[in-house]
Amino acid sequence: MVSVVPLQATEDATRKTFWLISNYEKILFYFLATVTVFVFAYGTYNRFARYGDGKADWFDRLDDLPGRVSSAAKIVASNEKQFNRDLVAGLMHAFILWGFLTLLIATTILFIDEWYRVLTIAAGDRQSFWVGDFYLSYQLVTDALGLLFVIGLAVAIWRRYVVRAERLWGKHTNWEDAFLVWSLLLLGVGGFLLEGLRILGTGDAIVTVEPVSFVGTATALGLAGIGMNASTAAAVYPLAWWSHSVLAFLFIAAIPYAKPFHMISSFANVVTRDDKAGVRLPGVPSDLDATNAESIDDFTWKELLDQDACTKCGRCSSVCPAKASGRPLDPRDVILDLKQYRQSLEREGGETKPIVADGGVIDTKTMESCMSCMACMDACPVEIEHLKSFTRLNRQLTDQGDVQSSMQDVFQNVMTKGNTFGDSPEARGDWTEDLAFDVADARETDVEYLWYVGDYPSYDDRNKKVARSLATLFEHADAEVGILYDDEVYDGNDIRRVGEEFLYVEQAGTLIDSFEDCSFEKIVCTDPHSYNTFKNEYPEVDFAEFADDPMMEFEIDGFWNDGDGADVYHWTQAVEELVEDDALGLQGTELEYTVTYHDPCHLGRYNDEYEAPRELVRATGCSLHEMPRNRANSFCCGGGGGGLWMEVDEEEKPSEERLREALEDTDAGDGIEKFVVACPMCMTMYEDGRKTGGFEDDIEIVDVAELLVEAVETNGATPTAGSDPDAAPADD
Amino acid sequence: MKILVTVKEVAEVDDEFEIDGLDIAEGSLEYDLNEWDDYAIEEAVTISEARDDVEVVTVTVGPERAEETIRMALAKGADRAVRVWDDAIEDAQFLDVDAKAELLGAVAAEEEPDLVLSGVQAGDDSNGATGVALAETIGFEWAAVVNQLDLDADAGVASVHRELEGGIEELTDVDLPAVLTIQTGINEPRYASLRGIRQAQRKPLEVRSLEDLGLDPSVVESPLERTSMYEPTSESDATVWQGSADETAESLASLLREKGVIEG
Repeated sequence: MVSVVPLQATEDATRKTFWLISNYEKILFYFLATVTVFVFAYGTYNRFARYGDGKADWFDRLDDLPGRVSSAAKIVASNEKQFNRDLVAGLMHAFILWGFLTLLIATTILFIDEWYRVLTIAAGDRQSFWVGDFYLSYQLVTDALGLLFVIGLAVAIWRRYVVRAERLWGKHTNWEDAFLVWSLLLLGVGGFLLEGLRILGTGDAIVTVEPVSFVGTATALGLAGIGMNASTAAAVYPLAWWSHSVLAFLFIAAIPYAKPFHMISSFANVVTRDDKAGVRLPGVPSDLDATNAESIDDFTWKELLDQDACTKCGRCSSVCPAKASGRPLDPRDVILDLKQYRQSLEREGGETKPIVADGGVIDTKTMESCMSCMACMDACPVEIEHLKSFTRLNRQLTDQGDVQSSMQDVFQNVMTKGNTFGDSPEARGDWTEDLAFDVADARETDVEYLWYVGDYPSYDDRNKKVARSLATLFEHADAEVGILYDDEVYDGNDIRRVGEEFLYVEQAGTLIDSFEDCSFEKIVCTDPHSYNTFKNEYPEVDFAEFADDPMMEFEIDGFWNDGDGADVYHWTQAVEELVEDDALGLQGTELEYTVTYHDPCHLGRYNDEYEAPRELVRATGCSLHEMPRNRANSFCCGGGGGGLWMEVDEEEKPSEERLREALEDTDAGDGIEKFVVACPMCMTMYEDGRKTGGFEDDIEIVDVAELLVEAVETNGATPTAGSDPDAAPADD
Repeated sequence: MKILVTVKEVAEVDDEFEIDGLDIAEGSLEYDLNEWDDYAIEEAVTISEARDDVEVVTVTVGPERAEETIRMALAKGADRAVRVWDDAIEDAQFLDVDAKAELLGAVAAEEEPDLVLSGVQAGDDSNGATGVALAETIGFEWAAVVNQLDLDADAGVASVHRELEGGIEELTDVDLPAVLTIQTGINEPRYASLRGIRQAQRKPLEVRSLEDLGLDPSVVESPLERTSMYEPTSESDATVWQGSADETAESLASLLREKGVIEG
């Protein structure tokens, strides 16, 4: 029988490891531990070896590794992503994460001390640092964090099985989700039970044994309270100890084979993330025989890691506007369907299927449903880049020719006319004819701002009014602005997202040729979609790759605007500067409307510009009330990712749901008069949703530019009389 | 099995256009693959995807410019292309249906297809006769305006639905070899991506002259002649009635009676 030393806050304070465990058992323990480590290492190695077999990724993801690891550590340690949109889940995960890490570190310290003792005994002078104040602090910290760990797990289990939070359940929910939370809970509770048994088992007055281990002491009191005495405690202790150990070994061995692997894969995914993921899409090789998603082998190692990093938390799907509208897209399921298919090939030797097709791994309609709004990626706590995999699938659909006829028409229009409408290129500047002043031709004069007007403001009647409003503002502010007239072509942002990459490159090259023929300092865009692709994507296209291509008839060779070229602005950013310089002469009291502002995905979530348009709305005097889903949480209008042209089956249009939100969920009650947008695509979608949703009498859709023009004109200062954007001519 | 698909590059006129002599000015024209032929190609490619032993060949009468359009057909899955052209065709003022049937027929005689698919009509001149004239020329069975096709290649029979006037559909069997003129809506034509069109540049595209085909230049002569080109003045005579549904319905009914559209 081992003698037990009473533990007090003295230099001698420590406890015996392997209490009541025989030397034979100790050998068995180390044998099992070795097997466990081997199984863990083998599984982990195989996982990473599989990533190594994946295709090279387009972006550099392993540069500045120390910097990447430390910023990933910060993201993970702070749990900032888990707190996003869900405080309880954030606390839950923080408790579990920090509890787990603390217990892991504690066990590691104990392991080191154990072998330190073994080695020093062998050297004839037994030493241990796990004594005295250090020991007591150790006990206090592990008890405290262990308690949080158990609380976190209790919350997780409560949310999963009692509340049954909807997003946690899906078609891929299976045993491993239960295994993770229940095994960790049993480990946490088991640890305290073991501590309680040990304290009770000493036979001394419970509260005097180790008061610093407050949870263990409380457990011991509880055990005593239900009638357990010291000798029973000591008798069941070895059994409890072994149960705890075996469960721990099982858990560790299972890590690489199930959901606990997210502790490694999700962290690796955060380390290798692309900060501009989705905002900039990867290019494709100019090699005509390159494939996009003919088989799972086409996926890059990062896309495979994305699949393994998924914890099935469902945050992506819970914010997806396509899913909310009843479209057949669940972003989590796409990632996990791909993973399941890959594993079915590797583990079970399953049959190969087309990756994306009707009846393929992913259905064609699923991909047609995506609006490229990036809400899923914003919500993902482990930096899964859904849009990158989705683009791969969309490119495959384009390669296969599986493109809806309405979308084919758009591609054809872009190919032959350089615009999505299929209208005459010569008519591109016709919207300027109703203005009382001329808009400068940037091909003929040097300008400060080259204004890329865009397809919708050039050709669509409703958006032409926005273009005229913006022209009026520039004129009023005396800004040196010019446009490209017939030489402007479609920017390509959205056809790139739909998957027609070669056509994107061809358009970009053609448009850059037009840019290169002009002299300007800055590019300013009406459309956030153009703004995004000019700013983040054009400078990354290596046009030299396509120089020999007979169908790419542009002159640009190499890269454009990478580094010291022109700055690219969304117009709200440029005009905000003008307003700050008081170029519009606004008092901030001109208008009295009660309005809400809708963040366009490509301006907000994509490019972090939330304040410039809001400043402009406030500068008119309007009272601005936020919708609950604002800024990074904005809810897509449905127009992105080809949504503007795609025909989809849905229960409710995203635009209708959004207008309902504006009318019901702001703190202005039902007082919102105007729904303010800053994107031509949003304008089109909301004008449509306003009609189809029956909101025509309740709310008006206006662009920020239209509000500003109204404010300027209210002021009486109208040097551009006749430019009233609402006085559209009959043929408009 | 071999399927020959006749493909035409059609001209599309801009909203604003100019007339130049007997033709529309070249600057007012855009060229594209004929819509009906797009469906014929899709039907042929779908058949070839379902079986291993099918070759799809396209044949076009057209200048070098038409190769852009032909490549779209190749990108969609046709195996090779034949383009018929020479100076005599270039110089012909008007290529009539018989001439086209002769040219296409000469290619068909060389290729010996089991099935010829053609569009019902071309979007520019809208003759709607070339396919059937071709069948006559080469002595094939034929069915026009086909909107559903079930091919039993082994039995050598094509079971087709033909779309007739007045919403009537004819179900009939045609023995191969045959010419079928394909109606829009029979399938959903796939997209030819820019990359696909580039890849298609590697597929064989053979140019054949009249001499190559063993035809006499007189084959392109026609009794028809184009005498002038003008834009007809368009008139519209729309009556808009104001008022309630009952009142306007009554006005419409009496007008329809008056014009003899309805009786009673």
